[in-house]
Amino acid sequence: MEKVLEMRQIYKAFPGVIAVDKVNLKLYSGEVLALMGENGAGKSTLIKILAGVYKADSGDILIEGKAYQEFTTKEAIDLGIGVIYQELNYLNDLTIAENILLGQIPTKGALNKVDYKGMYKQVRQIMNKVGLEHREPTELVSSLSIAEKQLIEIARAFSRNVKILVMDEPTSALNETETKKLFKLIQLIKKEGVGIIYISHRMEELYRIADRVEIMRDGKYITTLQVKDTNTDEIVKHMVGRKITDMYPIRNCEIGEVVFDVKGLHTAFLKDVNFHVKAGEVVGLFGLMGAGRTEISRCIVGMQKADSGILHMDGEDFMNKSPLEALKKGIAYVPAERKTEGVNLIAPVKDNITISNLNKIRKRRKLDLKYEARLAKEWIKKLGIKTPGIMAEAGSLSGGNQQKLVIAKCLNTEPKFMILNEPTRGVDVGAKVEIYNLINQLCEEKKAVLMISSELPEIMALSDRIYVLCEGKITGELHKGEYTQENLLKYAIGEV
Amino acid sequence: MKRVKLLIQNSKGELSTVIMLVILCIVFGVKSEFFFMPRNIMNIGSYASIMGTMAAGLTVAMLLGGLDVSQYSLAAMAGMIMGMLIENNVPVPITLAITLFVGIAGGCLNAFIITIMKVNPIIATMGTQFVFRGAAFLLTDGRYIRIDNDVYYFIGNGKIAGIPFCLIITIITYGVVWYILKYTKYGRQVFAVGGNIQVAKLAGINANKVKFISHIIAGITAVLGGIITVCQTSSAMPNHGYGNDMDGIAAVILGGIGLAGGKGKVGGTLIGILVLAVLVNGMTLLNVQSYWQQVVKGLVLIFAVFIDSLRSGKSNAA
Repeated sequence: MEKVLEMRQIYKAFPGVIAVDKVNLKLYSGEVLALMGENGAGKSTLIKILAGVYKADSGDILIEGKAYQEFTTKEAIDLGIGVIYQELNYLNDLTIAENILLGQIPTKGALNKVDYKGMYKQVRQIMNKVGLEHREPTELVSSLSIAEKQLIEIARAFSRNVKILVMDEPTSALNETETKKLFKLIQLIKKEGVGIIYISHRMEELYRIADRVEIMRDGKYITTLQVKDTNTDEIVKHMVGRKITDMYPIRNCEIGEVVFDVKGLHTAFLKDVNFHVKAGEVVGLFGLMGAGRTEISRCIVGMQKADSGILHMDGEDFMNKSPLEALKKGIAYVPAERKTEGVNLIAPVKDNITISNLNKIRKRRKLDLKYEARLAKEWIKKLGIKTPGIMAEAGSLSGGNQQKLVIAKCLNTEPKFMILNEPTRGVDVGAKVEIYNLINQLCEEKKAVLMISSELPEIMALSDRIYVLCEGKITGELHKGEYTQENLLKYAIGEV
Repeated sequence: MKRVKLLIQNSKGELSTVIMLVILCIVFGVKSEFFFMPRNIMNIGSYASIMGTMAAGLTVAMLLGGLDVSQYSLAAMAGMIMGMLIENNVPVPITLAITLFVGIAGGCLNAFIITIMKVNPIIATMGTQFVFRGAAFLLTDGRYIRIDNDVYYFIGNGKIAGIPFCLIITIITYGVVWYILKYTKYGRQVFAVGGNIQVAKLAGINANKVKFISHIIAGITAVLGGIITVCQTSSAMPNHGYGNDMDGIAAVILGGIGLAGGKGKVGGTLIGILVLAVLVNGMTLLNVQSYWQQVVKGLVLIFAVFIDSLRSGKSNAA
């Protein structure tokens, strides 16, 4: 195989931190190289250097044997480097064709008139290749699903004759079927001789798609392994620099009475949702993206109006009309979208912790700031939140610590029932384990926990029971020991 | 040392404005021997008190990512109503109470249009700006009302221990707003909604209610400014504050609160007000033509925001 890319001794420092410390990377044509490392390991910086966003302080980038010290983003594109970032870049109000050929729309004539005919013809070809054959080039991108929008980006890379394709967590917003399709497409791209750098936190994807894996830690190059010769333990060991023996810590706590019960929840999409959660129990809610998992939680916490349905807690029947009512009943919600729904990024850490229960720090209508500081410090200590202090801006914390902050905020409302929606999404391995420990701790405190997760290994290891959701309906209830990846997926696609 | 560093970090938004204020004071102090005279400093205070009082309330609305460009018009309208009440010999406390009530009502109108009718705050208050101004003229068909009353004269021009009474009103207003923002549940909710409305809603906050109240606060402080105007000039004029509509917003922005809201301090607004007041006062002392004063005011505002965007741009890259 031919080497398409070599990054040699790349070094990049920002004020105060060395983000990338003499890292090497080799990529051959027609292979998938997984780039792994915890959050903050330097993967993103390395990719941004490759994309021309940052300039390396030293080191060479060899593309098809030719050495470059630095190049701009435009030059990177011309060199055949395509990067698909986690936050997709598309223009909702333009057509598929315009999005794919962004910046290279064909023109004709003296007035440089847009050559629509030529454009659609060219786009059609690329669309067929990436699996968008069922769409028209003239459709607006706003009507596409997330998965299809991602295909637009891949198509864009194709239109520019990409030789090196970087994909940053491409599956984080995809369901299993869409992921399978994407992987098929990746196999196809490989065959065309494109070298692919694949970044993901999901271990199982590695085995499904990658040929080699390069591991980084704290800005340094650690090692490169052949995927077929390695295993999860070895990779995790290299990633965190220590061995995580208990990725999923064992929980031994007694399950008590039913704490929370929902009956006959209906919306335009949800059909007769019923389930219950007991004290000290973790109940998993599994389903593919768009199955209605988030909608259920939004109805329960009063963010969305249900057509009908009754919640039952503490011998009382009710329905929440607002999140405030839910909080008063002892229901707390950790949303999936940490940055847009969980954390106020520009507020101090302490404000984030106390905001859901300001009455707790109020004495005679005045906020007791000293008590608040003490309380915030207690939560920081209890949950092991790494922060420079209680006044630090929440946005300056790492993803895992922001997530713990949201959990602290919820716990500060002293809930009896907690809904955790994708609590470990975008969180690195070390922090994941800490969050799992935290969930176990909640159980020991006799709280009832509903956990929504699209990561099968995680939901299987942590749940005592799992409800599977398919297109707004609960299609199965499985107890510990009954579930395997296969039967959960079967229920999730409604094949049972 | 650590404490100094923390102080600088915490006052990021206001820092460039503080530096600007110091530089302006030094320049004017050197150029004009009158600038640092106690009487002139009190002049600056009196001048600052009107827009300062208004901007204190505006700060709350802007922390929520809102805006109110109708304040000066509302103040003029309330001022006309106040003048008419005085003409009809209504007792002082009742006159003041009714005038303040007009502020509450005007604020409610703004709040209703913004939170219930869901009209963008800029457009909503631009609309009411015209409505209030028009109403101010309609009330007396454009006639000015002269006021000759010792109590009102004292509010506008009197002094307690050498400090103008109107300045005391301003300082109290800032104290109240500062207290609300720092020590009340409502204040904390303002920062939460301004920072991220989705997060705030999930935290059990009624965002609409928080916004509604902020516009009432802006209305009340607008009218307080209107009362001071009427008292300082001993007249109610429908064109009071005409052309100054943006001064308060400029001060809040100078004080380090961006249009997005969520972050900032009312103390910053006070500094922003002082910059504008010192600028106008100093240029007047130096006999700068008033048209030039407008130009300089505009440039100072752009420069202050530019400095901040430079700094935040740098920190983002790191």
